[in-house]
Amino acid sequence: MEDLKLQEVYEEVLYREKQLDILFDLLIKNDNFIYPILHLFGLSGTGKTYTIRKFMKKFCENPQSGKKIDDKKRLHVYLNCNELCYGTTSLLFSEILKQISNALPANNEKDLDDIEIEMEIEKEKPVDLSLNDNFDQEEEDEDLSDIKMNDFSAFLRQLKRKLERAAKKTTLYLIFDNAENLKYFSDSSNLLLTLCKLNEYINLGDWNSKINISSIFLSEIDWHSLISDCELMSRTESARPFIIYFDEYTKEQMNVILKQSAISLISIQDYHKSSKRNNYHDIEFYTKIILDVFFPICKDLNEIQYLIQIYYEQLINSVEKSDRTERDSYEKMMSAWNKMKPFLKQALTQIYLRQSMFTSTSKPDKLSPFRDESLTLEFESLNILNEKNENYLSESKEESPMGCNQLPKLMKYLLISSYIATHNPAKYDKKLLDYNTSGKSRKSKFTAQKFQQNEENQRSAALKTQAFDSNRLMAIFLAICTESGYSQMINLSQIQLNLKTLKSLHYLHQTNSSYSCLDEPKFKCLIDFETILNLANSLKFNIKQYLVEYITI
Amino acid sequence: MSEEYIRIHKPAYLQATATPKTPRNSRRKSVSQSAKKLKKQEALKSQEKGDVLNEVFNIFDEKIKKAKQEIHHDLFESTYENILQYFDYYAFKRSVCTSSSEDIMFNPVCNVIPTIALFTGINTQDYAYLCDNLSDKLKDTFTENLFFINEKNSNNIKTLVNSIFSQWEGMCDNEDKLVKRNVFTFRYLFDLIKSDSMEDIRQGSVIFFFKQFELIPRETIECFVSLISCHMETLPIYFIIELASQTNIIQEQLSSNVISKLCIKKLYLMSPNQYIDRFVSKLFIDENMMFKISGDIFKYLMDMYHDYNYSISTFIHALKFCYFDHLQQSDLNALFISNETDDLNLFDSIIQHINQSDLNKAQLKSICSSLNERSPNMTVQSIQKNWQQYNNQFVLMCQFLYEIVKQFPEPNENSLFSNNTRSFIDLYVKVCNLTCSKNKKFCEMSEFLHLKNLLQLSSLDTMNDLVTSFLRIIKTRVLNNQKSYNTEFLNEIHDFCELLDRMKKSLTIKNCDTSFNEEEEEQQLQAPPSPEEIYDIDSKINQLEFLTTNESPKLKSFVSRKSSVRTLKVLSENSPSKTIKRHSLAAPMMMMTPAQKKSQNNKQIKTLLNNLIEWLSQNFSLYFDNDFTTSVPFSNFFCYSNLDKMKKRLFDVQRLNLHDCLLSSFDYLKSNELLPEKLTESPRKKQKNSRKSSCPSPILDLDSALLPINVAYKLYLECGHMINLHDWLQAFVDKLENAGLDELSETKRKQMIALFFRTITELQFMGFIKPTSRKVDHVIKLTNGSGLLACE
Repeated sequence: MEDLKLQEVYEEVLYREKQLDILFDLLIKNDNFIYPILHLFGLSGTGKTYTIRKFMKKFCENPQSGKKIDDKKRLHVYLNCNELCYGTTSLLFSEILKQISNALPANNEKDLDDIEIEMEIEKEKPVDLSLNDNFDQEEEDEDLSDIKMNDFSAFLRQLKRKLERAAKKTTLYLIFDNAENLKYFSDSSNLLLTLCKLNEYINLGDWNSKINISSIFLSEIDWHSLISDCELMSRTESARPFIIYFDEYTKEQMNVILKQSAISLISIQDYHKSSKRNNYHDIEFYTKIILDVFFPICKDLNEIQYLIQIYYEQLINSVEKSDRTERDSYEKMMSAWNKMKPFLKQALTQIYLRQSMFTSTSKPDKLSPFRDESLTLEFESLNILNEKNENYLSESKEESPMGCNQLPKLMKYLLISSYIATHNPAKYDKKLLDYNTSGKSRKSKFTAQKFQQNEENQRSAALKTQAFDSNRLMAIFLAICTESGYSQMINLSQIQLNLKTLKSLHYLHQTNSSYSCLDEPKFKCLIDFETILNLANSLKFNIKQYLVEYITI
Repeated sequence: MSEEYIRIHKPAYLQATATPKTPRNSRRKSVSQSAKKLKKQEALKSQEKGDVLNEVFNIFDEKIKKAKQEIHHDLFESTYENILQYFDYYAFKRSVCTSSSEDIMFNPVCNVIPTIALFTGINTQDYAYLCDNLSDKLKDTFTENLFFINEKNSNNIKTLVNSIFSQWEGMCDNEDKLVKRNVFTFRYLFDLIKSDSMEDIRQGSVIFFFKQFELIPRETIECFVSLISCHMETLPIYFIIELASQTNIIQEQLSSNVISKLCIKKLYLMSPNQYIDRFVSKLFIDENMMFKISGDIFKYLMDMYHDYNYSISTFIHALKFCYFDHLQQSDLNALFISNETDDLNLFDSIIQHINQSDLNKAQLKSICSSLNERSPNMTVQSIQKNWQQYNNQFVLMCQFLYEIVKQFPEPNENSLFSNNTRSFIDLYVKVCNLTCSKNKKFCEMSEFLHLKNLLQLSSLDTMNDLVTSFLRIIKTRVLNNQKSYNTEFLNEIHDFCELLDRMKKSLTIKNCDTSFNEEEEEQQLQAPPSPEEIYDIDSKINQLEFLTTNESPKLKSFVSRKSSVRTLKVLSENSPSKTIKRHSLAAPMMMMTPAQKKSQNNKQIKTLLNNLIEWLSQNFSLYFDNDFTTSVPFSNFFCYSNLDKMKKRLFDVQRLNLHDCLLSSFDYLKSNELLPEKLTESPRKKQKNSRKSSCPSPILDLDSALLPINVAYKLYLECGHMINLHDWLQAFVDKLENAGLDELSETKRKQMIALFFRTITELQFMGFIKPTSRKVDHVIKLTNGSGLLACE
């Protein structure tokens, strides 16, 4: 029976048979002993979460939900530590209890009432910490509503009671996704190691206990770095987890997975269309091309899946338009490749940027059957409106390929001068900017000079960035402005305001604290050379002439 | 003794609010009643005037608001539609996913947060209206669950969650659902929304609106996004991010872990240049705005906008200031009387009289008072009308010029009609500014002469384009509202129209001819031309003429022509070929060889072109040569032209003022004429005046008029970051006494030291220096760029 289930999981989770086998052996095969700690470790996009969730979903299903207590029960609790790590441990504990009681069939309505847990730390009543107390069950129930979940022993007691009620023999799998974040819990530094020993603690002194708990940690970093923040003593004493490594997919494996996901994608895109089989052949070709282009720079499956999703319409359309014949020929491939080239080029520059390619053309043609007719009408009217209004947006798009281009003229000069101040050592300022205006242009003056011995020093100095004060910035700014022919009088107070604006836009960074140094704020320019070059080109200003890196003094 | 020290004055602002006490003095009681009455009346008058000013000002304010709102409305519509469409697209995909019972968590389509990046540009307060509208409309139509995240409520994740909680508290209708803050989590919130929404795609979603994204701390956003992304399964979540200018700032600020949760669509709003152009054209060109500002102010404001801040609010502020100042200065409230144009004809004669004999304001008033009560009102109306007409004509001329400039790009950057001329408004401002500068007349400018040459050399295609665009402008601007133009001007326009018609006709013939010529030449090689073919040409010409004559009457019928004497004169002077009648034109052409035809047509076009250029240059010189603030009668009632005042009041020169004052205080106080002789004559008086005088120096130069603080400040400017006090003192004494510190007598030295310390204490009080613990005998300079201030 369970072997069959495993086979089903194999079909769902591709190329993770090895890991699934290990999981099966450790967690499912032998009910009497399950491995208490597991660490699933691998880079992002290698299918850790997907594998474990599919696996658990398959094996922890409870088809029958009778009022009778089962003999054997498997429960799993999935916790995303990203979500929980900003609270206290009480949040984590209460979340675990909540999920368990949700998973249990509602045979005991009292259970649900127990879950209203106060998370307040104050007004804590003294709680009896002994786990093997012989309290009457009902009496304990009344008390439990007041228990604060920041108390680990109380949590254990609650947990034990719940699991005992669920079945005669219960197995609980606690899955901690993004386990790196466990160390951020504000009130417990050793939480991770405590969770490792959960199985030990819950059965402490109770030899007849039939509760098994396995803690499964999912992370992108290895075990040693995971527990590096814990105390040394507890680190050395801690139990070793069984580490399951998730290696990266190879190109061929990825191709198969992508093909599968693309097919499911099509089923969403063309939900209303009946003829989708014709596309399947194209899809393989399409995923192949995408992989050929992107695999060398990106091995994250999620990212490539996203790429397929956003470029789907353009690419498939170009393939469809190119040739309708079903035969796979070299010409067809070439023509399709040529048509896909611009999109792929664009995608290469925008990988990891997560930009949407959504346009008015990529809307679904028809709506799903469960939408209202009024909505349908609204959609159609929207299309018409948007086509009208698209001119509005396209104008500005053409104007601003780079973000900084939409700045006032003098602010651009200010930004350029701040870049120069950051990347030039102060000692070269005089040579670069202060020259007699008797007619000799600086360029000829400097290029005529021979290469000096300290050229290497100059280069190395240019590589360091230095903070500048506003006096130096203003000197460079005024020199640049006069040289580039800005003849009007400059309103310096407005320029000071502009400096603040640039700071708030994160173009400049104030290196010293803004409170301690009111008098001499020091800044650094944060913009890269490419952007500043674009900016300078828009002003027809040759910035290379002013950078020590590019000229010889 | 004690009285001297305990004398504490009540501050002025406290006294202002206190009720005035009744005067006890008997003398005050005996003030005559008439004087009191007069005072009361004056007060009433001033109050009335103030009220009127307020009213008038409000009208202007509303006009500005309206213009702004219109722009924002257009913009808002398009933005809103785009956002809605994008969100709906994802909502649809999600609904498909859920219906096919797939795990949303692992679906690449649904496993993202659709994000709109709204690029507003810097100085985003201009878009506050737009953002408010957007949020309102989204709340109405999309979902009520719209939460704002801004700089103030996002110091850390805790404050952010608190603020979202409080926003939710405000939204929540049902009091049963309200919980304590410490139980509130995002999971709780989302579960609640999900249960409420009954699986409606739009209502059951949450939108988070980030305002001024750059100012929100990075850590907070990262925490927030990773927190929120855990709930993508439960509910569809959308982000709208308002950004200033950097396109990739979201990606640069956040880690890839967080970015991978988003799917960002960029949405650009209007660029600042487009914005200002639209605004100015809405305010000054499309609507009949009475108030104008002179060209130099216009230029200055536009420069401030383009070079410094891109802030429309600053621009509006400046306009408002100009208007208010203008209203306060002019007695005649010509601007706010409504534009009624009934029975104006009665007063035409008077107005003509006024216009001819350039009367000043007093004379105008006397004339008005001599007439009956309605007459001043009427006169004002007619003046208004004249002004309006003048303005419309001015704008029309500018448009003609713009059409020509558009055709010929100028390589030189700094010239008037350069490539930098982005739009019509840009040219309009330039021309306005040009009229103000009295150095050179427009028609004598090298740029215009160059443009003329270009026009004469231009190809037929460009000519054709020009002519059609001219006709289009006339049709749209003039013919639709003829009332807003002068009758004389309308006649001129009529002439111009005729000229353009003729030109268009000849151009079309020419184009047609060239095609025929080629064919004919080919045929000539094969066989001699047959009479049938010639007939064919003739018929074609006739057809063409028929077409053009069909077009022209439409235009002509609109223009109500009053005197056509001038037209005939112009045409007869400049175009000898005009007298040839249309059907007679075809007959000789039939007889001519193609070469002859071509040359004749060329000639005709050339003469027409010359006419066109002459007409244009005449009219340009009429409108652009003279400054409209001075040349047009009564323009000073409508036009504000005090640039210096506006500059001084608005664009922060306070720092410069302070600098000036500290450099030479007497200059600043404008008591300079009194100074040198009198002060040197009586040093005591000087001490009295300035309270901190320097010792009298024998030399009568400008330095002698300096206060000690001026001397100290001058030395301060020369110093570096840290100033040695001893050096400063020595230089200070040297400057004041022309002698070293050691050379002075004991008492003198003490005096000088005391004076010096008082001076630097003043400087410290004003925030120029501060003491430092690093070097005890040094002070730190606190202001920077003071040396550069001298450049201004």
